Amino acid sequence: MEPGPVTPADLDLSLDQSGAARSESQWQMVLRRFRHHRMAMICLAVLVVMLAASLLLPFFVARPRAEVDRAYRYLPPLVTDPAGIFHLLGTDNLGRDYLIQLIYAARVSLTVSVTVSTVATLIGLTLGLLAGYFGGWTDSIITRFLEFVATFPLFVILLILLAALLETEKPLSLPGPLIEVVAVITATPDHEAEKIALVILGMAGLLWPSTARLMRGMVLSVREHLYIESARALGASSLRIILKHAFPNAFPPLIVDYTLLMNTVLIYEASLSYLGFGIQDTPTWGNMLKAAEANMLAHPWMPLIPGLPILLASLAINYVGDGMRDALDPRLRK
Amino acid sequence: MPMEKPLLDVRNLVKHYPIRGGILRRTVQYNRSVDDVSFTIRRGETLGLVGESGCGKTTVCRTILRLTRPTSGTALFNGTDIFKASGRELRGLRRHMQIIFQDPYASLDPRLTIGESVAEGLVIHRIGTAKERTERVRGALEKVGLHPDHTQRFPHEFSGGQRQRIGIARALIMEPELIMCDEPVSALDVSVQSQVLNLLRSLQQELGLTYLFIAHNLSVVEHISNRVAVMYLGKIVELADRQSLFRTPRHPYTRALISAIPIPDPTVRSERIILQGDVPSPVNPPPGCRFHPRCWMARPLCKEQEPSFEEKEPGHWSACHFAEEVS
Repeated sequence: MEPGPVTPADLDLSLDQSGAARSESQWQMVLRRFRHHRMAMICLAVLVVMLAASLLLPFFVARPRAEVDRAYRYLPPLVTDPAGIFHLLGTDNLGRDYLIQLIYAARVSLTVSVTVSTVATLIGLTLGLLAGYFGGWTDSIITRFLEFVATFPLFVILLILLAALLETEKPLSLPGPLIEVVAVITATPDHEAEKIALVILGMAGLLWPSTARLMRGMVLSVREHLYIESARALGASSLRIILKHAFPNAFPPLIVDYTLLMNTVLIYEASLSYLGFGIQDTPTWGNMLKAAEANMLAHPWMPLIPGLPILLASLAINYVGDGMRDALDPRLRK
Repeated sequence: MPMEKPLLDVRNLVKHYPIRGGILRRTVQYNRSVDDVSFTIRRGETLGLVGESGCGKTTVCRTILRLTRPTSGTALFNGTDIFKASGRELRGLRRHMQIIFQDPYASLDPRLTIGESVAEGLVIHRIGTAKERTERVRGALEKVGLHPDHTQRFPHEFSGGQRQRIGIARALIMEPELIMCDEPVSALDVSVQSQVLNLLRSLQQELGLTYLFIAHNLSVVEHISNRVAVMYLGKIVELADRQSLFRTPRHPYTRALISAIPIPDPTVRSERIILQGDVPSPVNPPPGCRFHPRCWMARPLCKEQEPSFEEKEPGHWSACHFAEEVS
């Protein structure tokens, strides 16, 4: 059998010749599928509105001040106060507009949630990537450390840690720029920002192991793929293989993990504040709930108002995570 | 035959994988995946490497590419010792040695476009500007019979045969001297197999490539090779020119393999040799000749003494005590 040279025309090209016409990357496909997930899109909108409101409001409305006159306090929703100002959600125990207060609190609650999950994800991602890719001793050391951190009963440790840190006057000398950044994103004065930064660091420092474990597992499975070996055969360095092949292919489940983490943090932060261990002087949803609880018998609607955004945000984050998971699931390919 | 310096010279290549067991994970045994393999490949030729699954063909290939470390042995590529090459030398070597993998579905990163995948080697070795790379990618795609405008597409949009062509383009773009084809067609449909084989052949004629062509199918190897090496259980048992090997095999295993090739002529009654039993485990190979438990010619000597790999006729090497009686 002596075949002649092959020319492109001889070969069957089942793809249309229009070539580059319409082609979709995996990310474009995920995005398209996410957009078809109605509930997730609604919830994403809710979250965006919440976040935007909390970021923009301080530019227009100052933090409400406490009123001395009792007539201004504990006003139920949809009531106009003696000065003729309408309060959509009523006023709190110090006569401050509940809605504005809630939006200021959202700023702290949501930014804590976002930053903690971001920091924890970054730590977990890096350690998981290293452990999974290099294996051997690197993996053993990282995995042991991870297990050590993961054995802490999270909430109890957080309580003790924060109680100890927040009680001391100058607990840890955090770098100034870090506090500045936290102060700006939470719209709080520096001394408050320092405490918030501590809460953020404490939670992030304890919440990364699940992410690291997930990432390690993903990288372990991705590492066995032939395209990794193929890249190595071409002479690619470990760094290139990690950044260009291992990471992008191991990454998708982390998006879902990230949303779940945001949710966890939101609830933890609210619980901590509620128990009086987290952020105390700046209003957050959690400590507003606590403040309202004290007067629950006389004013039963009050705890519902800060409870509602916690529920709403948590549900919304969950649905967004759900939507992402469906969009990323290759078995549901449409 | 003129004694030209071979492009690749593999000597006494051994790869044993440790098997760990017990609580302390101590090495209890070795999987003798490749056990003392030597061969050379001359510039411009195709050496076919045949054997059953698990006989160590792919391991030979992976050690030569330094994807895994050999236990012992040397391999000279253009005079450079592959196994002793340092980081920089190794990068240089990898530029000139390329591999085409068996599985066209798994060997392309699903997140990279075809253009990025094919250009990867150029990027790694910092060859050319972005514009030149694009041109070379288009050229390479055209050479393997794909449309050059497919660079923006993703692997999942292509069929198996097309992906294997992309794999070939990926190797080709580096202008390598040696391409190792690790069963490049065994995952493809028969109709597509011959297309890809023809493509590999015409590329060889056009670009003067050298192939190490691995397959478990002798008819594929017959189609493309100049010389053929037959591996059994980690050893090369026979190595000869294609004609010589197919006409007068000098090892019973080779003869059995040849008898299994279907002949497309109903009037010819082929006498098939059916091998009894399974391939023994490379962890615990049989003593003496490794093939003796399955060999219909085996005699007491075969159980006791391992045959040496000798040149039985000029250019025809075999490891059998009774090579002359095979055919």
